[in-house]
Amino acid sequence: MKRLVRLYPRAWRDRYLAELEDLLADRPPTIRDQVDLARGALDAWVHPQLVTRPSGQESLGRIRPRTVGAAVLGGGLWIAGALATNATQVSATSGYKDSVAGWMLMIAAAVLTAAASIELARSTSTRSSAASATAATMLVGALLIATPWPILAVGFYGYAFAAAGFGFVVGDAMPLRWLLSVTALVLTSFNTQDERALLAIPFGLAWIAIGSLAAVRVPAAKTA
Amino acid sequence: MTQPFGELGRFAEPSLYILVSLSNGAKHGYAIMTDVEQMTGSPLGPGTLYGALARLERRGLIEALEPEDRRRPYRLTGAGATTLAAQLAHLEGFVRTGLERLGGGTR
Repeated sequence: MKRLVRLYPRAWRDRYLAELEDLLADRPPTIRDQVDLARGALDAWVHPQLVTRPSGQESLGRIRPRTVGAAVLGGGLWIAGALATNATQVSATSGYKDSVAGWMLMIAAAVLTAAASIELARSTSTRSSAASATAATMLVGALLIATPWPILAVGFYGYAFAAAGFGFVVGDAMPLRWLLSVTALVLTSFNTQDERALLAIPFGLAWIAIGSLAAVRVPAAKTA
Repeated sequence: MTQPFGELGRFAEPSLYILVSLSNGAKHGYAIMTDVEQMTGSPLGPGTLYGALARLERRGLIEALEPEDRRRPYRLTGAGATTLAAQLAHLEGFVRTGLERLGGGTR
């Protein structure tokens, strides 16, 4: 049951957790209640402005449409890049898969998602310098992916680890930040030469989900 | 459901139950759940309960009182009482019309 309650955003838990735990102690939850709690957690993420926060807690400010677009499009391009890379045949001359289209798509994806991260870091009320630094590192890494080997690899891993770190430090206001970190760590096992190219897909899906959730969020107008 | 219930989506009906439950005095979450179950015959899930409480509190229709131990009671505000009265009057008219039509149709 505690796992289900942990699905709720921190601001929600700060406000309602004690009451909810007390209620659940009085009335042990049925399976139906557990499903209801899971739905409630999803609702709390989608409508975080419903929580009346103590002042000083984190919130996500107004998200610009271009940030949402960069996150969703970037996520889509990660998926397209992974699929294009995986579908590429091994070259008879080099003996390697040389997917130019795949790399071009993924470079664009990395730049777009890094730009979205920079905007998201600015949009959190806490404006963490660590979040801004990791987002900037993502952008540098993304740009280095466009350079020749081995700097390409440095850029790719720099981008992926910075994205994982960004999820850790950006703060609870950003939706699905843990999913971003986990999928970014999975991305570090990416390899263009075999099916591990598909490991970029969860990362792309995470960005699409993050962008979509950020789009439906309304900035908190009231704190008390 | 009329405004402001119409904008509450799937929380509209639970919100109405909660307002009715609070209309005879402040209650905490578990007491509201029990009361609603007695009134309607259907249990109110904890996720739905707190989703509805958050919305009602946000709209100023209920307010949270100081916690008693870990339990925080909620009570109806003046705006909440007005909204509830209007909603019940609307439903009363709706029910009356429905019963009249049903009675007319079976004659």
